[in-house]
Amino acid sequence: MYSIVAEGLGRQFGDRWAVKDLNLQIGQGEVFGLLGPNGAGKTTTMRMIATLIGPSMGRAEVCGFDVSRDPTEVRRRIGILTESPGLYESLSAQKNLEFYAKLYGLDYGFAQRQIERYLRLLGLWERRKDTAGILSKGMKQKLSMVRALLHEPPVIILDEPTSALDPESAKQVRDFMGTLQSEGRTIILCTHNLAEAQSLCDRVAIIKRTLIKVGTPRELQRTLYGRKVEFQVTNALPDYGEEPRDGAEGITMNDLAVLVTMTEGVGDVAVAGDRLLVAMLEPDLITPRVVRALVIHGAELLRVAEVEYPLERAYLDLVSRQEILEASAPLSIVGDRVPHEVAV
Amino acid sequence: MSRRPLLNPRVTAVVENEWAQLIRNKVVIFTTLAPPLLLVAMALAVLLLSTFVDANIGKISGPAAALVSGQASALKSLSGADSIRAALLSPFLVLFQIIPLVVPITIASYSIVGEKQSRSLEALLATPIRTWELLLGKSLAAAIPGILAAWYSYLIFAVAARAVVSDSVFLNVVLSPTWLLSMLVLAPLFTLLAVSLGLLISSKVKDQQSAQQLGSLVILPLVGALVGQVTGAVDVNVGLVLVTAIGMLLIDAFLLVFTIQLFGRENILTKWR
Repeated sequence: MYSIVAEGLGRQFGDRWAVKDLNLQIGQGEVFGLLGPNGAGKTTTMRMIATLIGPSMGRAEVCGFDVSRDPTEVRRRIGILTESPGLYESLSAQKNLEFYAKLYGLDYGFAQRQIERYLRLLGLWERRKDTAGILSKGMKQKLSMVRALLHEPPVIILDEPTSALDPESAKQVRDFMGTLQSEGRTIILCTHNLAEAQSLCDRVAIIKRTLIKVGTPRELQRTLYGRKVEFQVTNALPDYGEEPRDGAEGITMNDLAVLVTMTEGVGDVAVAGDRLLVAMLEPDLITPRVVRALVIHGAELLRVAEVEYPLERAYLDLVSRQEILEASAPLSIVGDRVPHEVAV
Repeated sequence: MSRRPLLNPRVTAVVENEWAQLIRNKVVIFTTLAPPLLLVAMALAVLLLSTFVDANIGKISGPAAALVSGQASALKSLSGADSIRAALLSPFLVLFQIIPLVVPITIASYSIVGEKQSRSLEALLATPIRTWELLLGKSLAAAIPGILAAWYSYLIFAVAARAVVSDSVFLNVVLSPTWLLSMLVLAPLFTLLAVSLGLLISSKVKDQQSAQQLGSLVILPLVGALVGQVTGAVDVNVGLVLVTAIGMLLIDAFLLVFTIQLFGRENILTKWR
């Protein structure tokens, strides 16, 4: 079941499309990363899903409610952490939360329990009577996170949740996000922190005014770079022209590379020092064959592992490819009218 | 069977939130309370001054005659001393209308500019609150103190006047239909005007000072009316008050529609800077 569905979603400001023709399906309980450079349309997408602005094209649903037709029902089911904490600085932390509890229609007793529960979870209970203005940036960020959760929304949108936090608080928030996910909530995470996205998100979408790619971080890497397995050999001679290492026997890395190439299901093979980088479509099936072949020919293996590229590399490659595409066809994004516009 | 709350709980929450912030802001408190306090002090000083008018004056001449000539026609039947007292007190009919203009415009402009400065509108608009509920809450938070300040100022003035002036002056000036109609009908209409203008102005400016400076221009027509009244060019009577009230009602209705359109969620997030 999908918590969020976007079909051909887009938003135009004047002649410029901030987002265009975006298709997304986000499952219940999924942590979904929205990645993209500044001005890519992440915030516009987030605002359309949160019913803060209406789409110019397409449609979106949150928990089965259309963002244009049932905005109030959507708002009841969404908690949003905006980029800026947006607190009433002259009021205490507790007063800020009580105000929002009333807006969400929570009964007084339940609201007080929720406030205590989340303030304690995020380490702010002792500071509840302090005015928001004197809290640190990180505390404000956590307070606005509590504000987004008071009404127990099934969908949570977090815009740069750890950007203002010190490493310890950032870890606390990341762990907290894990707790929220384990409760079955859907989380949309807008972030520039790609390591964070890689570690937290089940799937990520890379957007730049339109959807460039969506998938798990691993799928994105595999789509871009294929799958490669690294074999580290301890006893092979180095390549031609290099001095033998201590304990090395008669077989060279190049010999092993040729040997591996002959194994069924193997693609390109590259030698890098004492490692063989072997491209293959199905590592689970092919890796044991390669290990067997290497061992039979006397190679001693120290380590065998599939190569993982950081999400950052995939992100940068995808975004730069999109830039090249846009440069070659500039009219496809800017100033392009779409025939099936929906009134805002 | 549970009772429905008298007022929508989200509207009440907005009003309470506005006031909670208001009482913590010394600048807004000062600029809100200063005009009514000053006007009441002025009115009491003039009342005190009126006690020094010689009760035996029979015929008025010199500068006093010019002062009395500006009075509403209904007051010209008063005796010489009472007509001077009436002439001294009459300008407060117009002056008290400044209160329902100045107080709400200060609060309303702070309300929106404060949200802009704290960047709290996005989180606020992501809640189930409807735009009209937010607008009504903010309007009530600004209007109620404005109307109450005007009425309390008038009440203090009336109680003090009762102790000082004669029955004929009290009934013909302070409790006259013109004054009562002005305070009970015109003051709330002026308040609505001020709230709408305060919200409109503050949606276009970035800081509270600019909003207040622009907002203070709204009292200029009243200053004109005051000069007209004192010089005798304008006869402030029930008819004039009614005509002004009808005019204000139309202006208020137009501004209300305009303000509601301006306060669309889209406008607030994409155009307000």
